[in-house]
Amino acid sequence: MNTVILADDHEIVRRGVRSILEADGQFKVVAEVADGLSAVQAVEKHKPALLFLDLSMPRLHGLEALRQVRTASPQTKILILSMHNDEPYVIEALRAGAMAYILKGSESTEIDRAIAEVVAGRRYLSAPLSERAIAALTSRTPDQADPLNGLTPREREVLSLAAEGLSTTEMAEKLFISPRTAETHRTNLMQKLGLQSQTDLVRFAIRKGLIQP
Amino acid sequence: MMRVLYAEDDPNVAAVVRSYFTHFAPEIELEHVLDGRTCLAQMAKGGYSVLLLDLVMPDINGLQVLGELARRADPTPVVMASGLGQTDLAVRALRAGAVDCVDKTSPQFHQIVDIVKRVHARHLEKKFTTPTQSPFEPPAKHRVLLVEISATTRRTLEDFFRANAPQIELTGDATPAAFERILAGHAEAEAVLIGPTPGEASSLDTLRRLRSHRAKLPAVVLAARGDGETAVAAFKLGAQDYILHQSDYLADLVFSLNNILRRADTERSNEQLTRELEALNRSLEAQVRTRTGELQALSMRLLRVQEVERRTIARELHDHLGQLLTGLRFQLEAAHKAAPPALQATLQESLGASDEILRYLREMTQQLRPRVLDDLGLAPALEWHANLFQRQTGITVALDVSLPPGRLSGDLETTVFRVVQEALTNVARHAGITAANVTLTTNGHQLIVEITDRGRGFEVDAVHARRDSLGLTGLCERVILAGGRPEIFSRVGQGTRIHAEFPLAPLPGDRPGQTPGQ
Repeated sequence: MNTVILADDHEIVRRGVRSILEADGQFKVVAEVADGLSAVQAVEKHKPALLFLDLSMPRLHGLEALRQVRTASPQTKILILSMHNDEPYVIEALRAGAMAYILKGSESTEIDRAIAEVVAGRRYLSAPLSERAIAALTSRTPDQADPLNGLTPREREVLSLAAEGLSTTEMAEKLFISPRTAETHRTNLMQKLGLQSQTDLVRFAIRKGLIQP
Repeated sequence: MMRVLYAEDDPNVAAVVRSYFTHFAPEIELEHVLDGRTCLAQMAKGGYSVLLLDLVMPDINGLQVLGELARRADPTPVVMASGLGQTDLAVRALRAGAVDCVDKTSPQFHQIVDIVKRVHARHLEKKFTTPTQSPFEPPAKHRVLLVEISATTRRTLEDFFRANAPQIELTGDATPAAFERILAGHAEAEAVLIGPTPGEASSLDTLRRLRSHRAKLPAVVLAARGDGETAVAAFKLGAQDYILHQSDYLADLVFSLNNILRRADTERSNEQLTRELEALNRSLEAQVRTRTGELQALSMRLLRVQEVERRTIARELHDHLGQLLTGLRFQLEAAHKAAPPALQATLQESLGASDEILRYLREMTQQLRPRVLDDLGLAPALEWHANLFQRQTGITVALDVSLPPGRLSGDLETTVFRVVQEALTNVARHAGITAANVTLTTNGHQLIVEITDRGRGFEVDAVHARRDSLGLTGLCERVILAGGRPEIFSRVGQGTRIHAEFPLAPLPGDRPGQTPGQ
């Protein structure tokens, strides 16, 4: 039988999840906790197969508890059950190693489905979340080897214009940004790329095909 | 009650005046004295509303009484009573500070009671509209340097002054040494009296030397000769008065010196007042600065309180109500599953209602204060807001964030978030365009925030003049309160750029390491 810990500061929510799990018949709830810190301690003690974790909890935020739990018991699979339907939370949770992100207020069948997927070793996201979050996640794994990826889109524009020989004022005019911002972009991008001079900058731009030699 | 002191040496005139007062104004208490000395003695006791003063009296004449009262800085208004053919004396009395002068022989004198009453009323009015307290106390004794080598003339003057004008002390001796010391600025006097035989140099040359060294020191020339050219020359050289050394000159001299010294007192008093005003001004400016600082601190605190309040309400809604609703939904679902067919439809509706409430609750909490800002920080919060904004308005927001990892201070994150939010709202309302840019970057010691659009634009001055229909003032104020510097650039047909720079050093009032909202 799979062991489960429920971490949520609302008894009514825990009761709901427990009734779903008990109806399934394959799970045993070994502990119920109402705050982040207790969640971490309970997981360390029981090393359960599954952890249902709320994000907004007293004493320790769910995201931080998630990180600590991952270290304390890597084999425990974590399902986030949260009120937050905001993408940044989903992304943060997935990055920190959560296997499922279920939106509170979803149909209880969603919980069944999430458990099934997670037990099978796959990720699960509540229907409204999946597409956007996964798109965001995949677009956020840039090639670290390419230094250009360290630049923001605006910095890249400034790089091209600077390589073409535009002055800060001209760049500012063209991009409709203030000269001070243009200057800051330029300084920052040179620092990020490890460039010392205008010559370095032009050489780099040619190498990257940003301008024609 | 109104008390009038009346100095008059002619008992017949006095009786007539008394009858006027008894008849027309029995409520006025009239006290009569027969000479100048008694008059001055009574005046020293104080308590008189008006002094009615005869111009010519046997011991001290009216002009001298006026001079002495001026020296005492007695504010009691004086009405002079003059006789036939005393017009020039009357003019001098008025110059010396009498408020009015009435000819005893004119029909006007019958109205003396009314005149006195009017003078009193005017004086009261003046008294209550001008500050009564002079912060400057005139010196008890005035020092006047006498430049005169003739021992006889010196003695005459000194004796007369000692007897009749004890408030003026003549200094110096029959040698030019004292004058030289005055010129060199080593000795002090309030005025210089150049005698008929001032020394080797003539009166005019002495005056000229005095002027070139001590331009501001008042000088009176007591001239040996009475030609008009010399008098004019003396006045042109800045002499305050030019008096002929002939019979009866002494009273004139005292009168003149009294006037000059009083004027000097007034000037000094004015200077002191000016200095005090300047000091007051400086102190007021400092107070205004302090007050402005206090107001800004207060505004900042208000903004903080508002955010804390919003955060609390959002949390309460989200954490408590939201969870209860979640639990309720579980129960409804279980009930729905187990319910007899007759109840199925109703419970299905209830489930739909609970979904609706949850959705509404989420929106509300986000509008109050996005939790992402507290939990995850500025960049994710801005991303979240940009997405939401895009969905709500159809305006694409290109978010360009280049910040070092880690959180900024709670206040700064809130300010920047709210500024971006406000600026984007303006874009949606006024720019008439489908794209906007938000840039966040740092040069190490400053955070630079820029919100731009290439939309309609506006005349910045005109918008400010219209008392800010775009909420730009509030936006700028918010930036300034967080220690930042706002800059708004907009041109009709070109677009709008809102630029703000914030210092990255910790602001006073922010506890370092404090996680916002915890």
